[in-house]
Amino acid sequence: MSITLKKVSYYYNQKTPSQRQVLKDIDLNIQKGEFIALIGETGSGKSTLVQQLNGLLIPSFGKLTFEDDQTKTVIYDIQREPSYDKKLNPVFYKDKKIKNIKELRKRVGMVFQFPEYQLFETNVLTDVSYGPKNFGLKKEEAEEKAKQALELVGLDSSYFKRSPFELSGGEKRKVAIAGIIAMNPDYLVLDEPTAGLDPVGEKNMMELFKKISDTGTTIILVTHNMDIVMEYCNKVCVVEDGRISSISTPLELFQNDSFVKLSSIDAPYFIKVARELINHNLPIDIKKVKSIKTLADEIRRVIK
Amino acid sequence: MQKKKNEVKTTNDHPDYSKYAVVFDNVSFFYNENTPTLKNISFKIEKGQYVALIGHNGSGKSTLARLIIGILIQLSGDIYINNELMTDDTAIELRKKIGIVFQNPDNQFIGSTVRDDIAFSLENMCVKSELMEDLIKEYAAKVNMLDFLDSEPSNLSGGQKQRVAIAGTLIRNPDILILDEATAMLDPKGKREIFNLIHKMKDENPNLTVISITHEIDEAYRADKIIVLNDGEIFMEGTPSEVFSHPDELSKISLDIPFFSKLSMELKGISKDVSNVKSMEDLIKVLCQ
Amino acid sequence: MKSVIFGRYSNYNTPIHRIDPRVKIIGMIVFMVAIFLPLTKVGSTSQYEINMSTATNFIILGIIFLIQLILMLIGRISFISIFKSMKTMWFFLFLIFLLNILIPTNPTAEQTAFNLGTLAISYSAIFSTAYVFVRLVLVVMITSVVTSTTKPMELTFGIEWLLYPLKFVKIPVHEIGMIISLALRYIPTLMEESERIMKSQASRGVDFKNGKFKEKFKSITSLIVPLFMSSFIKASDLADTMEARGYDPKAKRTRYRMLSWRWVDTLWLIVIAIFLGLIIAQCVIGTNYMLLLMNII
Repeated sequence: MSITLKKVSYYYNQKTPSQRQVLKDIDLNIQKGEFIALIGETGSGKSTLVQQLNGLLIPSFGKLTFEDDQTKTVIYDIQREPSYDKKLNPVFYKDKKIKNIKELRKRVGMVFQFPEYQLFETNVLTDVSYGPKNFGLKKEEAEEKAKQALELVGLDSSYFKRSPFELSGGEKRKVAIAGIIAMNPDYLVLDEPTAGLDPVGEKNMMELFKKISDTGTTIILVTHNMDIVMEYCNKVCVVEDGRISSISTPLELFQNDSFVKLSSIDAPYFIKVARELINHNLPIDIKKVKSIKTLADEIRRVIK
Repeated sequence: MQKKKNEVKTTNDHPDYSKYAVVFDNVSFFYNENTPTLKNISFKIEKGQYVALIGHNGSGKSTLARLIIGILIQLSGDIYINNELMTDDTAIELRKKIGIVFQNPDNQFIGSTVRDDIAFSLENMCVKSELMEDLIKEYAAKVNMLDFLDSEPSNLSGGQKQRVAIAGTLIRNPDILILDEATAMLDPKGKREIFNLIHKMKDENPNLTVISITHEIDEAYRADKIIVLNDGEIFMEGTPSEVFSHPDELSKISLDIPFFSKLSMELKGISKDVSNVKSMEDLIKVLCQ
Repeated sequence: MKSVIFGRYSNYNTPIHRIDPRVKIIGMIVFMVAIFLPLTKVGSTSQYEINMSTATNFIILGIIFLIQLILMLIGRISFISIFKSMKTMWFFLFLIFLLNILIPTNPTAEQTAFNLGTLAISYSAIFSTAYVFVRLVLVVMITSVVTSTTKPMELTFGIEWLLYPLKFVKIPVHEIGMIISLALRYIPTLMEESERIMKSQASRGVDFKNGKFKEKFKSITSLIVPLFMSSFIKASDLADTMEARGYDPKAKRTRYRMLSWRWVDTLWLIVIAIFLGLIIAQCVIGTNYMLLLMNII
């Protein structure tokens, strides 16, 4: 199972004086089961890119294919600029070439930054079952899904009947994430899900995503935190000025010399320190530095 | 919520706190009687100190900041700002010497342009209109926003908006500057910008007392003093090296220690003495000798 | 969503842009008075005079139209924006037309323009609809002239200045000004916010466009409730910030933005005063005088 973007370009404020190209010929293939990070400066187009994945934004041109075990569905294939609908909001988008947009949204769950602001129901359980209900499940089935999702994010039955607005910030965010998980998506897109959390909250949140990933869900994570990328992701994709400039494993990326030039992105600490020591003429082999422990081992080896 | 205190105190009733910018004497505060937000907090912050306040979300840090600036009034205990007792009546006057920058860049941009936002503070101070333009330019230059004077907030990054907030705060010429997680919603670049700016300000004006509420452990390490809050109580207090020399204690409340401390612990038993290093630069220097 | 009813500020530097906002506001009010005044001489009864006044009304509205057209040209206001603003009003116009037709007047044969089935449509019905339409267009035009040549901030200040006398009857003029300017400041922020919430809910399968009434109601709730929650948070943060930066609604404050009165503004004010005088004269003295005046010219 995989999702593929082919030559996707996106213009912001299309056909107005302030038109600006945000995405430039993006090619991206995401396989089932991956835990992939999208990194890049603010304004590089990461957020725009992930919104293409579930059809919240429809590109100016490009192709999105959704591949199942047996079938291959072309969700859209826009060869050139479509006749433009002035309303930028793609919910209103009614282009005949776009098929199965609702199915796509169900398969690709999207968690925005500060998702706690999407809660609106009177109690936690109804809020979480809202998504599944919208996708056609009966009330009981939806609530069953909601209960499972809430359990997965670590909120027990004592929370079910509480108002989402009286919970703490971290709990609210968990409820919002459960609201997406309850839709049983195959792909989960997370746009800076740990923003504004303290280090413990951040750690808990990432462990939760790891748990979700272990159930076979593909995770696509937008983040600025390179320690998280290093620890949890098996693939990292650098977005620079609307283009994908590299796709590799986190370690390959951080050990690569040319990455240093991207000053906007911090490498994890142990890499930065290793480089600093190399600059001070310590003969450390950067290829062997994979964590703080291996860094200490390398230092031990070269100093004696 | 804001009960008047029964006992009447005058400024002469208390020990001499003229050395200190902020003194908390047994202060408690709660929104809900069963769950106190702050319990019997006592600490002293010297004038010109750079103090980092760390602890989890919900440990009471932001409430503490709001008590210092007198937006909230304590339910018991005494708070002294610049050797004067904070009460309902003195709050407005004492607040004139305190500036605070909050977390959310969007929710603290008052004017419709950078210019107007900085001017808002001046208008409240009743500065003469003719003098405003120069002051606005001077402070915009201090925070590197001179090129954006006519920009609207929707065209600015989070870091830029926070810099404007700092300018609007510093222009009031405060003795005490509080940063209430001012970098929490920024990207790494924005965070760096803000911290560098604060250190620049501190260098230019050594008398400025800075209280930084933060989750950034490495930033906290650059402070003169660290106060660790946990569940509304002071868990630890001291210089950064004192506080971070108790990693086990800190890990009990799941607080991290700076990277170089971790690394020097990993390096125990190495031929060079790394036990007393104070920063990453120190550690690298020792290792490269 | 992004098209607001009246024109947005466009950043040019035309003579109209440079006029003091207070003059512009006064001018706008005068124009509106002129547009909406019944220009018939008070108490006139004869059929002749009524017929004449209908004709003069249109002539005067024509003159106003010409003046406003010139103002628009000087102020570089796009005509497209006027049409866009009118978009929301077509429905009302249709409603007014319908009302005018349905009000039974039993027109005589000579008053009937045409017959719609059994319904006789009188000239007066058509006229009064056209009259409303023309006046609406004129109002939209003059408001657009003011809103697209004046910064919202200046407009607020102008309003506050003009409301100043109300202070003596204990109306908190300054607070009203502050409220208006904060509201203007936060419109774009709340727009972004609502777009974000709509996207979040769309990810949860909400379709804001289609669906039965009940579903639609639910989807609107899913937008409104979060929007309110986040606005409350914003408001409380903003209040804290304002308090921390020394704002006290009761205390005296100085002003950064000063409106500077130039001699051109005095000139404009005189022109507006003359215009107002003519309008009043027309109203008091009546149609014939106006026609006379026009003949002389």
